[in-house]
This record gives sequence, C-alpha cells and structure tokens, in this order.
Amino acid sequence: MPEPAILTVLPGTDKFGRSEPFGSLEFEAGRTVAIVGPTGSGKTRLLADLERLSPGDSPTRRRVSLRGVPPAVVAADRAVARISQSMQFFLDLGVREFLEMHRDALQRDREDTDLDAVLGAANHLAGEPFGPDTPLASLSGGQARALMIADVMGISDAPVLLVDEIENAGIDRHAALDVLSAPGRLVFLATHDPLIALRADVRLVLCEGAIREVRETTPAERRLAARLAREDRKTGLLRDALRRGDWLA
Amino acid sequence: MRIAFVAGPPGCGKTRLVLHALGPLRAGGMACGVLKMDAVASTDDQAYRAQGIPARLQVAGDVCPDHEAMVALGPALRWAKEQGLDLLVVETAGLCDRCSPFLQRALAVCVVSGLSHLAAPRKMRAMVEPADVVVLTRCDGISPAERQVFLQSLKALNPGATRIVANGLTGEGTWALTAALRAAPDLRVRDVEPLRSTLPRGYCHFCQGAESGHA
Repeated sequence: MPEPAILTVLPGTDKFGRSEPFGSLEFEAGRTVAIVGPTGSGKTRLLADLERLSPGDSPTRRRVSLRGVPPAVVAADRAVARISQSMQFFLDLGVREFLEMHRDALQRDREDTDLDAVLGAANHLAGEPFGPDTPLASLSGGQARALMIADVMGISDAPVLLVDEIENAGIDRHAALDVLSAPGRLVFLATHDPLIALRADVRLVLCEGAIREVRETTPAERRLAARLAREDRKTGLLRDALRRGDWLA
Repeated sequence: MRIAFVAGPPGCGKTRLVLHALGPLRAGGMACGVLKMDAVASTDDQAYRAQGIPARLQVAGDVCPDHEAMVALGPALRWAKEQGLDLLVVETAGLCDRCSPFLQRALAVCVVSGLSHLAAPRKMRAMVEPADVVVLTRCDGISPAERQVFLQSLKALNPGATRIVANGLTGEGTWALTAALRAAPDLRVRDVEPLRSTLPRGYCHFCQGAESGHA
C-alpha cells in the first residue's frame, strides 16, 4: 500500500505580521476540511496558498507541502484543483475545444478521458443546457462553475480539491459537493454555510488572516446537520418552483 | 556582473515582478540595479528608485526600440559598473515583437499575461521562444483550467524554458524568479553580445525616424 497523500501547512503570519498559533497542520487524503471566518479573514488567501503548495513567497509566508502523491502528478500541475465562487471563463474558445485543450495540457490519455461525459455532467449541474460549441465566455456564472466542476472530476481528477464558497456559485451546492467528494480525495471547503461546513470532519477558523483554531466536528453538530439537511431540501424544492415560475404558496 | 533581461508587453506586470524578485537578493547583500527600456514613455524607473534600487530609463523615441536598446546598452553597462552592481536587470517592454531583445549569454526572462489571448504568445514568439524563463502573470482572474491551457501553449513554443506562474501584486511565485536571477550568467562587459534573434532583412526609414527628420 502506498502512503496516503498528506498535505502539511507550516505557520505563516496574520495581517499584522504575528505568527499563526500552531506548529504544523497535517491533512490526510479522504478528509474534508471546512474553512470558516468572516469576509476578509483570509479564507481565499489560504486556498491560494494551498493551491500553489506555496513555498513561502505569498503574503502570509505559509509553507505548504504535499507528500504521498507521485512527483509527476505534482509536476504536471495535476495535484490540486480549485473551484472558485467568482471565476468566469475568459478564453475565446468553444466548450469542447477548451476541454480538448485542457485534457492535452494535463497529458491525459485521449481514450481514458470521455469529454462527452464531462459535458453531460456539467449540464446535469447547470440550469439551462449548453452545447459543445457554446463559446466559453458566453456561459453564465452557474454554467461556468458547473463546467469547472465537471472538468475537475473528468479531466483534472486531482487528489486535493479546493472549493471556494460553492453556496454562491449558482448551482445545486450539495449535488456539486456529492459529485466532487470522491473517496480518497482531500477536500477543502471555504464557506459561510453551516450545512456545508458540517459536511467536513474538521474546520479551520480564520481571523485577521491567520488560522486561529482547528475544530473537529462534534457528534451534536452532526445531528444538527441531519436536521438542517431536511430543512434545506424543503427550501430546495421552493427554489426549484421559483425557477420554474410557479406560485410558492 | 550578472545580467538578466526581463521582457514582456506593457502592462503584463514586469516591474512589480522584478521588485518582488529582487527583494530576497537585496536582503542577502546583492547590489541590484535596473535599466528600464521603453519605446515611447515610462515612469517605471521611479518605482525602482522609490524602493532604493538604482535605476536608469532609456526611451527609444524616434528610433527602432531594439536598435536603441543595443545602442544604449554600452553606456548602461558602464553606468551599472560605476554603481558597483552585482546584478543588472534590463527590463524592457514589448518593443515591436519582430525581434527579441535578449542577448546570447545574459539570462532571458519573458513575461506573458494570462489575461492576454491564447494566441498572444505565438504572436510574440520572438520573445517567448528564445527565453530561458517564461513567467505567466495575472492568473488570479482566470480559471485554473485556463491557466493550465495557457501554460501548455507556452510549453509548446518553448519546451526547454523554466515556466513560472507568478503574481506581481502579492509576490506569489516570485521566489522562483529570484532563484533564476541569482544564477544569471556572470558576464564581463565585453562578452555582452550579440542578440539571440536574427535581425530583420529590411529596414524602414519611418522606423528610423526619417519622417521627423532625426534619421
């Protein structure tokens, strides 16, 4: 059995240059880690450090390393994938043309990569469907994020996944997270949403740019999550009705 | 004296990148200076001096920028020597994209913005192909997948180069450029020639400033 992937974070500094209050943090493959804290507390900054496996040259000076992943995967930029809240596509390409280029950029095998399945998965998550020739830049925010998620599953297939405020992505957040949380993947979720945070095994509490606390999700919190999920399904049905143009009561 | 050329189109983030990359070198006691070359106008030399870095500005004006760069290089090297520099960074804007501003033996760094068109690197291949280091900047606004596609297009043009993703505003990725600059070839002034790219076969009198009477 190869050693499982382990991501290590060595402390940096907060916005005022004070050292972060931990020796080192280790996260093992298969775990889900929530990142919480007020807007401006450094959640997205932490994700950026994780994404780059930062050697220490970011504003936080944190050092991030990953072991247990083949060096070729790290060298091919395939170890860490990220889905972001605000990201739009920008390149002047059609959807399928872009997926082909991304597959080739990551040196994925042509036979193993089913681009039609990627497109199908994206359309399953998105609201209104889009086709292989739809220009990337004309996708709506939700469609673009759906395509990014499908791309991460079908093309990147990275062992570490970073997700930034998926609740604001304009897609079914739980369907998206179910799809993304493949067994054995290490997932970081920056979120303001209690239900998403409670999907995690552990959460990092950020404040003034630093990781201030590390909290394991408690059994009581897991029970709360189950209750919240039921309420959330009701809200989801209302959301669907609203989108269809129905009366809500 | 170590010499490195950092070239890229206007607005791709060269100055911020160089400022960040020089930080650790200066902290380690290396005397660093910058020659900024531009075609029409620039105030970037002030940005360097504001950080205490000796800087000199050379604007081509009426003359072909690549030609002017080579003419200006001799005096600039003497200036750098007088300043006692250990490392001279020649920061140069896009010039005309026909020629590369890189010298045979000096370190050649090309900077490309991730917000430019995917075809842009091909259009400025004179800068991308002969570079030792290719830096992709401004990736914070594009998706990771697009960044990877962009990097692949740079790799296709210049497979042998070191590729760096960097952010001139935050400094992320600039340590890799610091390492490249630290290892830039140590040259004597008389070793500094010739250009890496072939020169154009034809010269235009307008480019030489004939129209404005400076030819």
